[in-house]
Amino acid sequence: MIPVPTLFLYTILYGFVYSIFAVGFALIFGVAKVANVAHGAFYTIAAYLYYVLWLKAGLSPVAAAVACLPPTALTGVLVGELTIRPVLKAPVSVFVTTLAASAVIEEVVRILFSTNPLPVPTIRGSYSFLGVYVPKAGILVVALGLAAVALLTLLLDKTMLGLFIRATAESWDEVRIIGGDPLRVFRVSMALSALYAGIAAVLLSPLEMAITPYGGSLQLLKAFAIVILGGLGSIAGSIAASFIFSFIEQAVSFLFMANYAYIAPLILVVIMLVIRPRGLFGEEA
Amino acid sequence: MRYKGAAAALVLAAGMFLLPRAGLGVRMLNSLAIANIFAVYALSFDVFSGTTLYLNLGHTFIIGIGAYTTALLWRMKGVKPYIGIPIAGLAAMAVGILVFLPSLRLRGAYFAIASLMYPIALYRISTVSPFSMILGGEGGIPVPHPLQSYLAELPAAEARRAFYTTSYYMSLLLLLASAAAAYKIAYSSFGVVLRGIGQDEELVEASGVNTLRYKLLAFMASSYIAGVAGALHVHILMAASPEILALDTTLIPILSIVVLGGLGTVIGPLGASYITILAYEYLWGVMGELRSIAFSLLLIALIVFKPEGLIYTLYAKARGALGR
Repeated sequence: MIPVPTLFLYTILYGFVYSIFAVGFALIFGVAKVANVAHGAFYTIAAYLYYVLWLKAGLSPVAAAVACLPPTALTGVLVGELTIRPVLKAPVSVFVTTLAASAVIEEVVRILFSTNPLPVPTIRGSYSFLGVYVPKAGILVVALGLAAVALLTLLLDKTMLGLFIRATAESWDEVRIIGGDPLRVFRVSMALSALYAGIAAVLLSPLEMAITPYGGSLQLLKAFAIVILGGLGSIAGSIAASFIFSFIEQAVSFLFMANYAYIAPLILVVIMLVIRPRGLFGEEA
Repeated sequence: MRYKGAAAALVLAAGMFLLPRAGLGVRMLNSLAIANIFAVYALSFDVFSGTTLYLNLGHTFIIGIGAYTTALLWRMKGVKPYIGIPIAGLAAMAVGILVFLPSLRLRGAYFAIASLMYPIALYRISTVSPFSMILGGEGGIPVPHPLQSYLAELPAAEARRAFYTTSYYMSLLLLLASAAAAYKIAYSSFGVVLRGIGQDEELVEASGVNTLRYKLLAFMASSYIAGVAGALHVHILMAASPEILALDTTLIPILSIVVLGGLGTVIGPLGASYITILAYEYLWGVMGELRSIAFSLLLIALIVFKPEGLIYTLYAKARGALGR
């Protein structure tokens, strides 16, 4: 017997976290046509910064959440400058350089904090809503997740920066012709992308009640499945696919066992590749 | 010219066979055996990715399938390594086809992303229950050395050195056989088609060649060699653990070897493997845990500061496939 309302609650909850993480990856793929494998490392950095600022330095959880994001965004810009920009013209070299960058970051975290999961307190308490047990932390994730997704959509659709980002995704040369600087757009996109990976970490860590050095690569694995499902570089596709993916993952956990959910993304992607290789919203591969 | 090359290869092979007689310590022999195995990993990666320019980041997944196949056969059925290792190659090939056949329709970044998912997922799967009960979790599955029964008969003083000497010779035999096979594939008319796919797949297709068939065959060859190497690797280490799937301990060294040695050159990775693995092994003494960080940074620097080098030429072509 599947508890349907709980299943849907968690689908929405994780759907938001996954979208926030995946849009960052999709953004860089859109703007620079490269896959940034270090995206998971941004998540890990933010999670550990959050942990240190909150539980070691004694900041309030909210202050720690806000304070850990700028360094994460900065890391994004640095990784972009050092490992993506020099090989921008060779998209597949980017795989190797960002993979190495991600290994460096993961290894540093491992040396500093060991591989053991570190406990993170959660917001206690819950509401009873239509007979469903809804944890307060979950409500917060849904509210902030909705806000973050909405803000990014507004930014891309309604602002000058968003216009430039969309234009850069179309053609770097044309942006240059109208007097824009595509490299600057790329840098801003890297910051935004890492920022969103950081927000995902801040939202998810208290909910999962622990952080590990592998947290980021696990998110990245899910994000791969999501962007292939949604179509590479499509923001709307990534958001839609996040919820589909989250639903499948939750359904597998409820039906079988939570650990079986690790297999779900692979099976989903294989099926997707067989029936529609370009993804739900992607252009011709 | 041709014979000169063959003669040089023979002299090199003979030299490699005589190496253990040069009074090397067991630690050095062990490092050399690992270098042989990594050279095979790099060669097998090169046979498919180096020629077709499809970046198969799932290579460690294939290696892992080979490793765990022989380990599971040993643990569950008591299958001896000399039977388990060839079967592991076949299993790696079969699973590889099953998993990668759908993604062989993808191009450029799509293929690389899809392929990278498998080792990350298998690494996680191998460490969580219920799968870890079968796969041995972090510690892995203990397996015997391929020549266990022979080594057991030797007196204790000789057994230790014989362990490393035989490991070296077995890995060397595998390396020579793989290098011959890889060379044959890459420099035959078959290899010409593969390189053509790397240059401009649409053009090759337009001339009436079924590119999927060629990619699949190259992939099968690559997977078989990688599976056998993975299986021999765990028998030499005497445990099949998730480390063989990990990005930092297996994939990054393979990529470093290939980048250093030159993609698609087949012979390049051989020398590069010795340099890379010996550096990797000996850096442990100098910088301990920091060595894999140093390694990753070196890899980045190699690619960034030598863009005219190997990976660049390859991927400038792949750019076409991405429609930039």
